[in-house]
Amino acid sequence: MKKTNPDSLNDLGRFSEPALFILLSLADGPKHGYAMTQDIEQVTGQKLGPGTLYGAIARLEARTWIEPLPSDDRRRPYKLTGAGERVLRARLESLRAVTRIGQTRLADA
Amino acid sequence: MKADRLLWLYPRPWRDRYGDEFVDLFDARDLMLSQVIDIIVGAVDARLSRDARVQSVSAPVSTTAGGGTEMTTLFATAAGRDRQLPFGSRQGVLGAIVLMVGYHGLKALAELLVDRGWQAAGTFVFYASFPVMAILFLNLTLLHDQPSRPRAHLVVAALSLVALLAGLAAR
Repeated sequence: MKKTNPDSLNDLGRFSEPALFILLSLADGPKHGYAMTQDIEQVTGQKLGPGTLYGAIARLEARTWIEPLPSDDRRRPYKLTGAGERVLRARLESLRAVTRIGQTRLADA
Repeated sequence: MKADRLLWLYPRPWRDRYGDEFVDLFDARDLMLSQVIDIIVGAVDARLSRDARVQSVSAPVSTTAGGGTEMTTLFATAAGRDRQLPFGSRQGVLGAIVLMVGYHGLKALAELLVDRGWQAAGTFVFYASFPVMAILFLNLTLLHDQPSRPRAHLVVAALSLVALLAGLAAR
């Protein structure tokens, strides 16, 4: 049986990558949805669709990895929580390990 | 097409929670086809996926760091609210009764029509019976909290398609 860690982005299935991008986008400060899509497109080259963006936001918010900030505007900003920061750090560390192994194998080939 | 024209596809708690900021993403600009598809897929996900279901109509906006939102999610999960269907038990029971009674009623009507010599009409009713009742079932359950006008358009369009296909099958 496949083991899943409830504190892992892998648990989000097809939303794991958009969720990673959102956490990454919020790592340097709170942003609202539109600013997130702009930032993610600039950093990753991927434009998240609105359904995908808010599907991921709803999941991240339910896990309290991000939280909304008070706003009088229609554009509600979100911030990374402590738990979200830990999840992001763990995923980046995992990606770093994968990158290192891939580069080593390519160098040996 | 504008984003607010598609917002009704999402369940009401989701619209209340994210609707304004969702529509604001587009600033009244027309959507591209890929965005329309993404919104439709997202709406199906919001309705069917337990993971994506919005817990509360007025989701709290925490004014303090941490705390409030985490506690709300914890209590909602403990109470089993994330396992709720997007319709109440009354709608579920009513929908199931309509589905079963209507389906068997239409099948009996189809047999009666065939017995009376109206072969084509009987075949038409037979083929249409289950899809028609399934559409009415969805109308009474998953779509029951949607605005009446777009819901009526959707139901009429689905019933028309069923009538067309059943008509072709009965020829």
